[in-house]
Amino acid sequence: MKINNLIRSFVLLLTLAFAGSAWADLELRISKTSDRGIPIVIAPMPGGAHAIIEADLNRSGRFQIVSSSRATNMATFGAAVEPARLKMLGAAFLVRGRRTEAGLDVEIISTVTGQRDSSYRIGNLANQRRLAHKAADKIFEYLVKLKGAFDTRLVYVTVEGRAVEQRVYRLYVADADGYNPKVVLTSRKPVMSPSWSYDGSQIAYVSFERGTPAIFTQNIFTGEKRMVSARRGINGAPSWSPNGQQLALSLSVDGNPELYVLTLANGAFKRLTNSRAIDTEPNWTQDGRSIIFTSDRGGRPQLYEMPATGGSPKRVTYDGTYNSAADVVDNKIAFVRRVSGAFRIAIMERGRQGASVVSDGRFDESPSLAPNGTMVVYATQNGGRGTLSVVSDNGYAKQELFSPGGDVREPAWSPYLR
Amino acid sequence: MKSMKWMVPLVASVLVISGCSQMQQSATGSGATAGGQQTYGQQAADPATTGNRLATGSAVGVNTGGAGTAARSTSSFGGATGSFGDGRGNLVGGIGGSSTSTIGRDGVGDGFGSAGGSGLSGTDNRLGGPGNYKVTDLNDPASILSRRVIYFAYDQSTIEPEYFEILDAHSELLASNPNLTIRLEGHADERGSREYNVALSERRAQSVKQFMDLKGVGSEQSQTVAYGEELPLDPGHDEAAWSKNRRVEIKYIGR
Repeated sequence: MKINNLIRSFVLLLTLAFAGSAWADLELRISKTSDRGIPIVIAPMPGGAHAIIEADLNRSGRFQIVSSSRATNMATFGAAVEPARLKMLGAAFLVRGRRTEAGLDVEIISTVTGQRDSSYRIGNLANQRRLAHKAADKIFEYLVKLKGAFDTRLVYVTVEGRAVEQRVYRLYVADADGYNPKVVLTSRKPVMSPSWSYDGSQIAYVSFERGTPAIFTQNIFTGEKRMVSARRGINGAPSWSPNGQQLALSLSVDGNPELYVLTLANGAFKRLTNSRAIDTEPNWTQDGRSIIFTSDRGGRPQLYEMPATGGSPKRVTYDGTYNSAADVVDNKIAFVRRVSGAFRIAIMERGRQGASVVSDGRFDESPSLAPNGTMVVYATQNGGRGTLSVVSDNGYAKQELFSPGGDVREPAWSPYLR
Repeated sequence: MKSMKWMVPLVASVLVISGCSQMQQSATGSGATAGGQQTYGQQAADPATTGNRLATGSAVGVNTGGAGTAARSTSSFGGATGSFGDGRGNLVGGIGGSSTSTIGRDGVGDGFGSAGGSGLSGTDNRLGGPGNYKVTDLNDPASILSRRVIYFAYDQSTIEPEYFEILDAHSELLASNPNLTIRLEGHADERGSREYNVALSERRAQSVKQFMDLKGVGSEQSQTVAYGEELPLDPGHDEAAWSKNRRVEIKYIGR
């Protein structure tokens, strides 16, 4: 509780510090702090990088953050520390850092041995917060033995205006913690279902700007935009293939929603499914061999898996009357599950039966896993407004991202940045 | 959901057939001859008939053909002459282009299956004169044509009988004015995932389109757009709001 409050105050300070520069920042609120995992203390760093690192590590649900104020008098990068004082920290590791002309240096010290376990130099970047995220990634990888996914991005949709004719839809790209948001698209008509290309440079999305739905791809750096599918009926649910050359999508051009694979280079559509039911929300497995999708061919929406080249689908989910909107990373599948009348986010292992529900809202949807599968971002409602939540896959840590200016929805977590 | 999909043609065919039998009854009752005019709002007036039709209607999917009890009479297709119950399913066969359209009961179901009922008689197929409704009625707030929203039950795309009257009126106007075009905008409530809701809202728009196509509206006169849960009429988060948001809106293009 105490730690929680301290983190809150640091986040508040950070929010204030960056409020002037980015008015549209999502406001980050920690709703659940991990009290399990590796106890770690991040010593205060000039410029506040320690608070960003703390917040990152906390989000993963794999660390127990010890207040950085306890390490105030041993914060100097590279300086020797007495083993006795290290042990007093109540943490397994102490992280210290310094800003240099070249960037940010961090070191990880074991409080047991008193030795520096590892150190890193993060080269300068225009986006200063990314230095801290990259440092957090290094620390995470060293201690958890999994690649860190803090230096990543989110794309999401915001909606302002209540009346239909007053609504403004925007597609934003922001850092994974909601900072540095940039508008990549503004439209008076609905924008839906953003999906990242696997190199993180492009986004595919559905736009109704022509009156009927069409799928576009857009480069997030140059803004260059291309309409890739505007067939009769539904053009929906684009999902980029791991090799970057194809989009899986749902089209109703043949009468009812079926899955297709569109080859971007030549515009060729290949139909994958053939059922009288709804087939939609395709998502590729990381090896590019399979597609997991939503279908109500069994009477209710459930997840199915099929070869990306076509073939017969196999049912993936059996529990519950509503399972949909899968996002797949490695062997993890995040999806929407109806649980006693509420729609929640569940995570399951591919090839296994059980799933754990990791959210607790009534209208949770659009789950998207971090590229290392340790966290999931999803859309939820708080006080009647659309907000985003990030929860660790083990459910230990949770944060919410509010927009000051309206509803936020349909987050998609980027791949690792290159 | 499979069962639900079957419900669409089933319910609509019941409707068409019962509508027709109504006409037959009223024609007999008044001694009137074929006039291309439909009796509105009485589809369920004769429960026995409706029930009966429902039973026959359920044979739709299995191509039972045999002669039904419905007599040959004016159909509800904007005045086209039709004969019922000969089981030939000409709707599918595409003979719809001829001036006499023969509607087998199996044909009704199959017509639905053929996505948009393109085999349905063209607009030149209507022998009847213009119906009761004029295009200018669209601007009359007192006209039934001012009612342009059809609401649906949760997770359903079947049209509730209370909307038959509205849809009949629009169908008649459209059938007698082949240059009029509409957009059928399908919507869903906010529950569940967004793209699935897009698909669900398309099903709703399609059932309205199929209803109208069977009433003699040219298939090319209406197009559907599925908005899913993206454009709620009521932004609330309770059943009162949801029931307003599960809808199909009829939009006259260029008007």
